[in-house]
Amino acid sequence: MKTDPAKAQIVVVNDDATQLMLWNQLLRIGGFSVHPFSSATAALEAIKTQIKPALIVTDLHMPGLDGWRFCRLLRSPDYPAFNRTPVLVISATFAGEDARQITAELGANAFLSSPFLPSELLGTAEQLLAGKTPVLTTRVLIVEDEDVVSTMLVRSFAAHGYTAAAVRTASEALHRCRRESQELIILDYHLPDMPGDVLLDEVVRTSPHSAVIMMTGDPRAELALDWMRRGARAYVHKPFNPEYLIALGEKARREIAMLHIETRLEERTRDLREKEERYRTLFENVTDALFVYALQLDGSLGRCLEVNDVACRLLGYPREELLHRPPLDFFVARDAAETALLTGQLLDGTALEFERQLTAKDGRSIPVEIHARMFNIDGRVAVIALVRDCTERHQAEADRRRLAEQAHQMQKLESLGVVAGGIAHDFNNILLTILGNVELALNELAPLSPARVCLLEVDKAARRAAELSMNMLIYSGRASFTPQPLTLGAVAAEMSVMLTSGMPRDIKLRLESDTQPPTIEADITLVRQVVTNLVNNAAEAIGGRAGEIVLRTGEMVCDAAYLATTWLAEALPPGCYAYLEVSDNGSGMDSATLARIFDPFFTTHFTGRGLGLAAVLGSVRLHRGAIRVVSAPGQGTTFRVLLPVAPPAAAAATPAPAEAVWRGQGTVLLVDDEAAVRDLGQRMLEKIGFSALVAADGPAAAAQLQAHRDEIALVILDLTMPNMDGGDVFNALQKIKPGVPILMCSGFDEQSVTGTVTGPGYAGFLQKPYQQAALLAKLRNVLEAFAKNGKT
Amino acid sequence: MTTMPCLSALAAPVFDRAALFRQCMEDRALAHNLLELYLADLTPRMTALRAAWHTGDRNAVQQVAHAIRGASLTVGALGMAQLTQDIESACRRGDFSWPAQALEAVERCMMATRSEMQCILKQEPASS
Repeated sequence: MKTDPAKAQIVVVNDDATQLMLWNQLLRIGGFSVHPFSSATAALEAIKTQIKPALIVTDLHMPGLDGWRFCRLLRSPDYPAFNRTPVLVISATFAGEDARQITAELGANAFLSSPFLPSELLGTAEQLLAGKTPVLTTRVLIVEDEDVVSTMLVRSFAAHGYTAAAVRTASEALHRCRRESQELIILDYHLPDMPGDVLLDEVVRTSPHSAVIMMTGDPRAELALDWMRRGARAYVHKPFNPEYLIALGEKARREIAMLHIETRLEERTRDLREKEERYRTLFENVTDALFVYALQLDGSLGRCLEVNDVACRLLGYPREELLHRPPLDFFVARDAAETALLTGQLLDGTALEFERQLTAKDGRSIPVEIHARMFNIDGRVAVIALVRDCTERHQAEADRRRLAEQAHQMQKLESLGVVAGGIAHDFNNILLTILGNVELALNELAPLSPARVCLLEVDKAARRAAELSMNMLIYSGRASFTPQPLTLGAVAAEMSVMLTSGMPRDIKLRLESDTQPPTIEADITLVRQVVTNLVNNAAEAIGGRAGEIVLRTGEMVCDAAYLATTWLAEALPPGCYAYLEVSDNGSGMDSATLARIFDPFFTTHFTGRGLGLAAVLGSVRLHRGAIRVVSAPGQGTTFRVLLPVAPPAAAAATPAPAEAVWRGQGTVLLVDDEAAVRDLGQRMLEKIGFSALVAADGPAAAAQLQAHRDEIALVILDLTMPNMDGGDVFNALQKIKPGVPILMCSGFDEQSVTGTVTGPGYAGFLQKPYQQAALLAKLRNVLEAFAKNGKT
Repeated sequence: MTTMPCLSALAAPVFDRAALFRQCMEDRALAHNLLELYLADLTPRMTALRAAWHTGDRNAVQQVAHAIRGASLTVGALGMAQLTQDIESACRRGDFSWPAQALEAVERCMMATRSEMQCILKQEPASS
């Protein structure tokens, strides 16, 4: 059936614009309706939705979707509408037998070697549209200057279906070969314009797909040998039977085709090898471990097909061993239900992500993140698993959690510290009044007065309350802190004697100290408090049972990892630390209790008030040290306090000499907003020999100093007062009497004064609550120092 | 054995005007359009060829040579077609050991081809 060309739509595909234009124009000249596309992908899209082509003409070598895949798609079940649409393939790469083979391979209907004559394109298109399959003709070129021979050969080849042409000269032959591909070239050795062997070289070079047969009347055998070496496929001696030459030609063409197939196989092998090398390079250079396992019919993992070097290094197995091991434990599900779930998901094509612990060859447990999915490899179902070592990530997460927890703890301590400090401040004012008045009352009472016992009980209770208050201050970081060189061994020895006497009978306190303990810079009062609190805590942990407490001191080198396991150690540098350790074989603690032991008022003991360990922590913090606690239920507890070792120049302090008897003289101005404190202070001052003036606030103090400027030898000034605080009053008083010694007084520690009060009149700090002896000692020191420096 | 592209080995002219016009069924306007397209594409293709050549990327050299050959055969640029065929064939064999002179031969052939084509574009107007 003849197709109307104008109605026949032809799709042409070529990535080269020049060829596309030529094909398009030639077909249009032929009267066809043409749709040109520069890629097979674009053409496929168009024919699926818009165009119904009667013929498709395509190039082979194209980027992206090439002609081979394009043709296979057109013949595939995915494109049923085009399975029978005629396809014409045009290529400059193939000719002759190769072209036939490729046409068959692709399911195409016709093939044209480029360059072609316009008539060949149009003729082929018309035949295809008419439902005919064009026969691929075989071109033969006879290069012979003797007309008789050439005419005979042209006729003979034509009789066998060849498209035969003859030329008389070498230059004509070369020109013809460049214009159209020849499958067979019959070449006479003796030509008028070029020796036959030179022409042979050129033809072999320019027409590698052509089979060349030499013919000559020269009988020399070495000529034939030379031609074959140069690339001729065969030779004949004149005269010869044309049928023999045609048979030789057929054989030579088959050999060439076979050679091309082998070449193409080699190319494909080389390409595959290169591709495999590329993938192998990628496989080996991935920073994660890769495992490929065969997936068995029951969904379980079969043998290991491939692993990369990272996998070998991760698990510590040599490659061969890993390949022959049964599936690794990483894919072993926790139970049958999970196995079914994982298998089902894999078979559904779901990409799985999960975490596991792998066991390395040396027994190490390695946390890993696994990404696995099913895929086809060489026609079989397999699972590829990317395994990422999470050790560092887990460590980083643990560090982050620990730092966050530390920050949280510090924040909690800070806020609790503010509360505790505030309470302690007010509490100390009250205690000062109680203790001072008790002391004064005891002095006034007759030795045998029955009220003395009562007052002594009040004094005892107030001192316990003062101790509590001190613990709160230490915890809050506002306790008085006066560092001096000392050794923990000496303090531990001193305290162990004292603490042993108060220890229950069934509890043994044992001391283990270094023979050469390191010197540290510490506040001896606070260190004593630490020892006392830790030993008391240990004794309470042992409870009513028999037990042992070991008080141990020494020196140790701490690295960053060790310090990271302690409290308050985030800024401590690695190095040498003196340690004080208190361990007991008591009940121990669980992790929940451990997390709260330093909270103020948290206690698990019936008798405790929950401030002892909080004060220990505050004290350690004041010393810029750290504390480590190891405990488990039923296994006792060990507290280890780490304090920085002092520089070599520091030497441990010797005991201070005993106080000499001293009486005050002159007038002291006492400034405090608490009436009870003023009243008590005044009586204490008078008791130790001073005349006392009092003031309730700044303006009153200024007025008193103005009025008694020459009499007042010293001022005791409370730091925290309404209206004008201590700092402002200090400055006002210094203006009235420059250089007058002013002793600052507070329930907070001395640090609270630092920065608030400066100048030559600053005479020191008096911690509340104070007693008469402490007041006397302080005033004596101040007045003697000022007298020595000539300031008063 | 290495087959080195060499311009002196070409017996034929670099550009076969008759072949071009035969391909175009003597349609001069089409011939002009093809030449203009060919020359416009040739410059970037030569740039790509040089880059691939200097980096030793055999696959890229083969692909660019193939593209130049196909277009050259279409417009009768026989010299360029021959040289690029030699290059393509050598690449297929896995042979990539030519000296710099081989690329220079292609460059010289391109200059000669361009010159001849531009003569035709100027001297033989499409509309006459």
